[in-house]
Amino acid sequence: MGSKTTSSTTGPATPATGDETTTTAIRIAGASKVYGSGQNALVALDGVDLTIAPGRFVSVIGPSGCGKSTLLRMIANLERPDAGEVEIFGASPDAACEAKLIGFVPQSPALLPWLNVLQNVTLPHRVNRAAERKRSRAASASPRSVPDLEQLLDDVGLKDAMHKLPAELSGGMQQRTAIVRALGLQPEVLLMDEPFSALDEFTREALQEQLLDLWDEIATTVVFVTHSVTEAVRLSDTVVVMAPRPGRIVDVVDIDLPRPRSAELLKTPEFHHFEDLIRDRLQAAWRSPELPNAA
Amino acid sequence: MMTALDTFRRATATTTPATALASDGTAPTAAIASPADAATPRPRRLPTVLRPSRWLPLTVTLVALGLLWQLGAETMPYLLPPLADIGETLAGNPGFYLANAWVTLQESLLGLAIAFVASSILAIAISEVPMVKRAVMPIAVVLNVTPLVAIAPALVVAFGFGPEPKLIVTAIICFFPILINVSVGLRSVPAAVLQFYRTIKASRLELLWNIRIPNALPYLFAALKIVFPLSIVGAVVAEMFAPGASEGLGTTISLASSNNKLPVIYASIFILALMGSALLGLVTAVERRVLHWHDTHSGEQK
Repeated sequence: MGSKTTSSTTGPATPATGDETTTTAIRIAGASKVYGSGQNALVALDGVDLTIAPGRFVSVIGPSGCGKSTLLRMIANLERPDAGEVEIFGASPDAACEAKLIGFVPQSPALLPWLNVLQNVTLPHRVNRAAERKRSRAASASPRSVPDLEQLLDDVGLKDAMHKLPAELSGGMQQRTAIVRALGLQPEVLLMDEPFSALDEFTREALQEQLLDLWDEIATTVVFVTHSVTEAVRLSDTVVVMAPRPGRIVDVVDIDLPRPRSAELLKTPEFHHFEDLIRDRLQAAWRSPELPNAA
Repeated sequence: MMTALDTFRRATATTTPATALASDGTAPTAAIASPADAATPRPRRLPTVLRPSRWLPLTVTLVALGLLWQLGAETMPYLLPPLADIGETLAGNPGFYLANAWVTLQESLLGLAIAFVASSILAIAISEVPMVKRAVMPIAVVLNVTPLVAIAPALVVAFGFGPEPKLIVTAIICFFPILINVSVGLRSVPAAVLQFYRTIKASRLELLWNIRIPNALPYLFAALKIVFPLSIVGAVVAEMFAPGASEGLGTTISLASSNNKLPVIYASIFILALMGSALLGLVTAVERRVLHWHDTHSGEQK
């Protein structure tokens, strides 16, 4: 299991303090996670190494059970590795959360039904206020100006919905609110766990475009878990391909398509080339002898 | 002819909002104005609540029950008093009943308030500290299954004929439903919501105040709807076991039964039933305002 490192040459420049550790946003080394024990033990992650440079948009793709969500949850400090380590800008995930360096977008919007859209995106700023001090001390973290949340909501077309309750919104609008809630924190690392998987095709493509627009402005490091090849190719600088049993990284593909990536790009042969490449990698992993129950 | 049609139009225009407001699902047919009605306008149309289709079913039931009651009162005069007698005693001494109802109401609301504060604090402790749950829950369950009627006399012996035993009994009877519902509500925040707030390290207090407590509100109101009417039960039971006490509808019933004053008993029961319904209506109204965001009000009503 060799170390996979995403190239850091094309990523947007981030303020570096001259520290060695600042050249990587996320470093995962030998991370393993096993659920259960004995006969029923499921190896969710088996010695995974991954390094992500600041400002990169990295998608993690793979079939169910390949550990892609586990990997994301480890970065988000929602799970701890059994072995190996995870670092975010040289700090532990726990310290990164303390300093509010992480913006998390779960699979479901997870909004509070009694708060309107604006209140839902402002509440995270009212909790853990000590984070600001810790953040300025944290290695290489850029100083954070208070973002204009109303402007952000306006940017994603939620201006008129600002004072509505989540129950009055469509699924796409709810998920946009969840994205603004995470991005409004101006996180150093944005972690997204299949955020568009519950949406219809049209909404999904519209949200991909909006996400790319927002990312252009905010230029944060993104780890995006998905099971859609098209989505991964369209959004990412780098696609990490994973395989199950045991959960592992089988390939890292850099997507050097030009940006901005409009809907037109999806029809080009270059785009299809990358889609086919990743599909091949996924299928090769699926057929690999490491899979015990291959039919 | 022209004016008759105009009055008809005006009449229908005014009844329409009433139809919409009163449509709580009991009489869907009343809400639909058939074209035949419009073609042959009657000189006067009644507001929805006054239409026979709305009031007739309940009236028929009440009249039937009243007739059965009267029949029973004539054949078994020692079991049921004639309705006229009940009305007479109510009309003859309304101040007496109001004063006693007020005493009982105060006891039940104060007991409920004690239960509310105590069980809410304990629910938070249970939800935050699993150890407290293990220490307290078994006792709370045992207390809940112990018949209240059995506890009441003991409490009267212990605390005398003052308000204390009444408040304690009422508080005990109201305690458990609030405790269970609120502690479940505090713990039923969706996992994804907690995950998000964990990634920004919201403190436990922040989680409790901003997320867990609002999340528990629908559960609290469900408990309150059970507990408000129950609080009256608690107060009345305690009053009955403290016959030396001078006031309260429970005392009134207990005294009247030893003097064989059936009309007084039933008049008191009638007032208690009215009080319970009023409290339930009050909770439901407050719930609608507070939980306007909650989907029980947008979804189920249809």
